[in-house]
Amino acid sequence: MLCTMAILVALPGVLPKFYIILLGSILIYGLFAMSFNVLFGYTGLLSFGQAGFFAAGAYVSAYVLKEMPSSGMSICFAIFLSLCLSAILSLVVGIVCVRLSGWVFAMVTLAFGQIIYTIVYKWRDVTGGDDGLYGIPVPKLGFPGMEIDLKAAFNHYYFILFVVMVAVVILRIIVRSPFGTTIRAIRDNPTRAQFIGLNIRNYRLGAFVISGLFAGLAGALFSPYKGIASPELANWAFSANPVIMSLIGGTGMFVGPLVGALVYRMLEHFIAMYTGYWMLFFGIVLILSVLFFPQGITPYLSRGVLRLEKGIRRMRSCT
Amino acid sequence: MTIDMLIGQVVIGISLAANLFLVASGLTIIFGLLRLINFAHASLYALGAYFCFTVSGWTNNYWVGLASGCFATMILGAAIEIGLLRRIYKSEHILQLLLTFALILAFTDLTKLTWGAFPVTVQLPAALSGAVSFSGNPIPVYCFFLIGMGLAVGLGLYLFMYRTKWGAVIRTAAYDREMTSALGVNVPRLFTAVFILGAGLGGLGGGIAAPLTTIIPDMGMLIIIDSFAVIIIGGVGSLMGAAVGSLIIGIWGAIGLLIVPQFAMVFTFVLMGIILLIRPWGIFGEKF
Repeated sequence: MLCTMAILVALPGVLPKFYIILLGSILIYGLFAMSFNVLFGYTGLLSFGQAGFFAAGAYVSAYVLKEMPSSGMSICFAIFLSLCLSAILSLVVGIVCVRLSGWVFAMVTLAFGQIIYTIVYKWRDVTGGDDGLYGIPVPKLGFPGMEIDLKAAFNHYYFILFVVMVAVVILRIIVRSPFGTTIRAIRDNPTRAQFIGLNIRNYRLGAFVISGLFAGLAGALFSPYKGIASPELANWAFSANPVIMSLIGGTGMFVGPLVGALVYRMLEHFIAMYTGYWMLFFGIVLILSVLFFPQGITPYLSRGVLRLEKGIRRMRSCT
Repeated sequence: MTIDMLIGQVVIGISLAANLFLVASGLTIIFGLLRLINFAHASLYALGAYFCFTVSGWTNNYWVGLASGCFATMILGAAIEIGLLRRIYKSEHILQLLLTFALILAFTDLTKLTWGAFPVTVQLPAALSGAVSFSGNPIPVYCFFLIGMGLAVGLGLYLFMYRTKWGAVIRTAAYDREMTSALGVNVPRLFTAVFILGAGLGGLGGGIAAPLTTIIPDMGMLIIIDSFAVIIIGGVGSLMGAAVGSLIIGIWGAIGLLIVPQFAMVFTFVLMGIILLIRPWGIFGEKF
């Protein structure tokens, strides 16, 4: 973990600027996928509407940054408001959804996601309709005594890295806590969990809100980074992103979705050089991974790393 | 808003309901036997409309287009069931959902590749164009055709499921697969047949909606979400539920269009949310 962090901090020194910008968005997508996996991997609920919460965060942060005079605190305020809205939204949607599970849950979350999309698309006065909110000023980060302009050098990348890392640590604490153990127990056997006296609806609601909250955080980072919040962020096709990333990376491991985000975005980047039909490609990738790698690739990767370590140790003991 | 306007809107709502019923009944009969929600139904709907567009363009005959759209989606349904779904019946439900979701992604881009992203339209057949006056409202003749089609398909499905031997076999297999198989029924083939029937209904729904809407690769997503609302309200797996659910959603949506034109869709889903809170298994569904 520390090793990965050190690499991510050091990378801007090595890689060309373009890849650092790509890496920043990969981190955001990774956070989005991890928030999805709290529901999918840990609670056993498959949601096809996570884009709604992501878009809620993205639009609130875009709106605040555009409307508020640019000051040092505006980005913090924007993120705070995004978190509030996505928490409220996921609480309202969650209260209806957590009564369901399996395919009905998937259908209803897809429906609610599309409602959020419709609202974003039609509420022209606030969201800008199908144009979206564009021309978002690059925020400044202000502390007493110093001000960091995110426009300069790799500051925006470091800012995202910092926020995502904090979020990942919080998520890790959550899934390692008694709460995390409980939701996994509910995933594995809801009936038995109910019999030992757990209120499974409340736990599922908790997981749903946590998931929506972190999806909103990812959205809040996304729109200032890209400079635009467009309605596609709320569409069903965007909800496919975290699903595919988590599946590629593996849903059983904590960092799986993050690895999946890296692989997915790099693939998408290279595919987009040759063809605009990435949905077709990822549809096929998703079909193949469902048929042949339901565990994702991260377990294979970590097995590979372990084997490598063993090999190195053996070489050392030989010399 | 006058009473006449309301009546006119209700008639239009019923015709929307008929179209919704065609799509939702396909979803629900597949679910009834296979215990699987086919998200790719959205793509089958869109493909039904696109095939109808192409073939009716060649032959200058809407009816041939409609039939070929239905036929093409049936073949596609067979390919999906035999080629992909059959491999993962034994694994988790979530993987089956993911597979059909992946199919929408792939099919949406395939339709874009084949027909382009620009909207296309199908001409109304001459016999059904024009409008008639109904309690002071001009109602398109096509709306009445839709209602008739919905009634015919609904009645046909009912007779098939409850009055023929094959319907009885399907209902038995839905109840207990192993026992049915032990009695000498080829259950995997039955699965394929029902999936083909459901897929064909999706394609038929798309072909019938083709003259009314602009055809775009994404068009299935709009109706599929309404059909989800229909089968959730009516109860998943129940034919009667699909009929009643479509009427509720169709009429409620049409009235919503009068009251809150911009957010009619939200209006529909408020209703779905309320029904889910009271009866999570739907009106005609079995408690799960």
